[in-house]
Amino acid sequence: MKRFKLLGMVIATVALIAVGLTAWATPTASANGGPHGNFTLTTSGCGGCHRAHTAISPYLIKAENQYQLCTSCHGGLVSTDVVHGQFGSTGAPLNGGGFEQAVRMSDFISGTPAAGAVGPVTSSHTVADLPVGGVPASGSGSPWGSTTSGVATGPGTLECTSCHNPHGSTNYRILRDAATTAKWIPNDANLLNWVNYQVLATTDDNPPVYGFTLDTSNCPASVPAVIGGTPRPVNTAVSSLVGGTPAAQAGIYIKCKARYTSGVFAYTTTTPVARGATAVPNVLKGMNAFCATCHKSYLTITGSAQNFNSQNTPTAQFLGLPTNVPGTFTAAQLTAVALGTIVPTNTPTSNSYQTYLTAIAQWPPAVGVGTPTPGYPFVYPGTQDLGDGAGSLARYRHAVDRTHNGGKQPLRFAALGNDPTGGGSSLAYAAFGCLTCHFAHGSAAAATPAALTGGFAIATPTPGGIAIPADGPAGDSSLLFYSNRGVCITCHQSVGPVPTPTAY
Amino acid sequence: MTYLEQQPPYPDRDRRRRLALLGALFALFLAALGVFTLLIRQGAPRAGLPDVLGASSKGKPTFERTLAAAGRPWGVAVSPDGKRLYVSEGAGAYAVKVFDNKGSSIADATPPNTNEYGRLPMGLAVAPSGLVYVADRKLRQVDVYDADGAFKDVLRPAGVDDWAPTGIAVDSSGLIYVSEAYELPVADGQPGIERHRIYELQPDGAIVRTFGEKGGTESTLMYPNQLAVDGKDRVWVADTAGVKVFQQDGTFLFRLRGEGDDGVTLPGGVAYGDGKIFVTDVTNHRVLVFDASADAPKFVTQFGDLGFGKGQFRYPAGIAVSGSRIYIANRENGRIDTWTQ
Repeated sequence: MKRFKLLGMVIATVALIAVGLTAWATPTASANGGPHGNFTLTTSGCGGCHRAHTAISPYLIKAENQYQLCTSCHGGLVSTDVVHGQFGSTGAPLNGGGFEQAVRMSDFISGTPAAGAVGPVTSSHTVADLPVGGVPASGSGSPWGSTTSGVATGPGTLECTSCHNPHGSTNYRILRDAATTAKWIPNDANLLNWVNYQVLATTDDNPPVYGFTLDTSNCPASVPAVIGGTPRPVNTAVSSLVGGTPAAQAGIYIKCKARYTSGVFAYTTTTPVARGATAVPNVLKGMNAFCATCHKSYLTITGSAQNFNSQNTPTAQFLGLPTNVPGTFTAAQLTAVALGTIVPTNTPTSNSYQTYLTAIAQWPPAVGVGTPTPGYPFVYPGTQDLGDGAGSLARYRHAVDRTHNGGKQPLRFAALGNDPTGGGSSLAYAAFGCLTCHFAHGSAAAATPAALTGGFAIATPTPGGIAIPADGPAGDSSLLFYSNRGVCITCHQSVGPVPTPTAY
Repeated sequence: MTYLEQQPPYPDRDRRRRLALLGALFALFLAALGVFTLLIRQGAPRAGLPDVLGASSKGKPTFERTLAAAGRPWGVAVSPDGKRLYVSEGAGAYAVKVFDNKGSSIADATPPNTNEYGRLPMGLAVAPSGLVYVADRKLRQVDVYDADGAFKDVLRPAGVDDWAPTGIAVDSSGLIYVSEAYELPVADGQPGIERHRIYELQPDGAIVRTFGEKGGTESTLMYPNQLAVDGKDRVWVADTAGVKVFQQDGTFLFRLRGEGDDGVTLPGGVAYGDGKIFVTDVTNHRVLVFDASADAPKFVTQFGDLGFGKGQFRYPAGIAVSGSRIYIANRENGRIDTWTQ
């Protein structure tokens, strides 16, 4: 009897040890299959990046930083090599450039770039842990052009997921999708990134209109196209299919290229506003708006203060509310905004995205709150600052998000086509945006001393004796597409042969 | 006198014995807990049941030392005599660094007329002849060097205009296996190309066979990377969807389990030695060891953990085995670590 008791005690102790040590140990999850979407109910894809109980970063990420995690594949293995800015299989430059190396577009003609055309980046979207001068960057800071009056963007930490959704999206290069109203939380320090549920680059709903399409089923044979008398040195164009009109050719051209654009198009010269301006048919779409989520001040019609930050609202300005609490606009107010008969009050909340969402939710009045696709014209959040930066100077900024007709060359990532809104207009357009001049990841463009953006000063002090501060760090190429001021020359002056846009 | 009325002759002694036994058992429990705690602090894998409970601890490698430094090393290979170590860099000079077995640098092997912006060496392997084969992702070619890193030639598959090699293995007969992930988007009205496959090449580039295709199933490939050939001439291919194993004729055999403690999340490198397959699990920062002597592999053990210290990895990539020594490209720690088994 005693032996049985003793045996029982031994067994119980061993069991106790086993239970204790089992509880101590933490089982791992693991993953198989691709990590970027198409998850099923039986997926094991989560374990590629997440750990339920042993994560070391917010959002249960098991990596200490995203850059090293993402570049485990996107550093040369898979086709989109964002470390070196080249398409893995062919070496062609990536649309977004690269974070550490990139093709110097001023030296690139076509095909596989020669070794001399590839160099170190001279500027980049400095994500966390990107090695800069051998030192991992913090990724923290505030984006340029983010501090308009009212709601500012950042500071925050820039990560790969600031712009890309690793779980997949409907967009090109899995850029983040827009969400419906009320999901954007400005300056939320707990969020992993700046850009949350904002606008996006997207495919065409009814190609060829704006945006981009990956539908290549109707790509025609390659025939050099001529638009406006200027040969189009791109590899996909049609002159034989549609009768040869430049606009039609441009439209077909769009259809065969995977590109993303600002979502800008021209509408009629009559109603609602006779200005030859543009409007975004769906404000939740468009690459310019995507960039302007952080770089708010740069989404502008033209360089004058107090103008709207976008041609989306040609003459009318957004009537802000005195508080940040969503309120109600009367139908008369909304109409007046559209017709431009109300001069805005440039209150801090006039830049509030929340307020903006409220307004568009009420436009037209028949549209309910939360509807993401109200009618146009849309009011994009933000206005040119009355006073910006040191000395409260009104800034003049290069217009984006606008049409550009009769261009000397095809614009990179331009929205091309015809007015899709009907209204009887067949106005052709070429609209450019942020990505016409800038890379998203990094650029190897040269920034020689004459083109430095830093150290700017004026000879004559402004009234009051205030010097204008530097716009950016010295030697920074500002993610520009071409070296020095090549982006200016390509539009504002013809110099030599027309450069070839990127192939991808 | 009934049983119940019977009294033990020495009641105090029995009570002391029981207490002593209880105390001994409790001490045993505390000792076991302490041992396990020590194992955890030494960097033993946190995952899974510990070895003390019977999971196999046989052949569990131990950390030896950091042999050499390299810029974000991707691939690693060892010469047949064990005297040369070759490491492909993913940063800095983007060269193939040649070290001796003590970790001293001998040479930086680079293809002629290139600079650090024009080359990207990735997978590499050493043939029984001593020649070193290096897949260059940017140049889209396989460079061939001699044992001391002197450039010799370029290996191209016969009759193939363009390719995109990523990883390489050489079997004992000298047959060269090259993994490819070639993608050409639609352009000029031509259909796109998506070619993820394995080449078997003779040293002169003659194609013995190719197998594999891009896909999301167990038997297809998704960016095949580094690979190894085992003693049964099976080809173990690390790709972004796991480790896929094929017969030499290209017949798909199985995929290493991707779930559980012995599952591979993202395999970076794979190596064969001493009847075992070693796989670097990049995002779990560890190496898994499988017994490959039978038809079905059997998980043996795992080693390594996340960190900067000795015996720790940060995104381990390539792996090579020579005798009892395991060489691991500790990518984001910028070094080559050796372990012994």
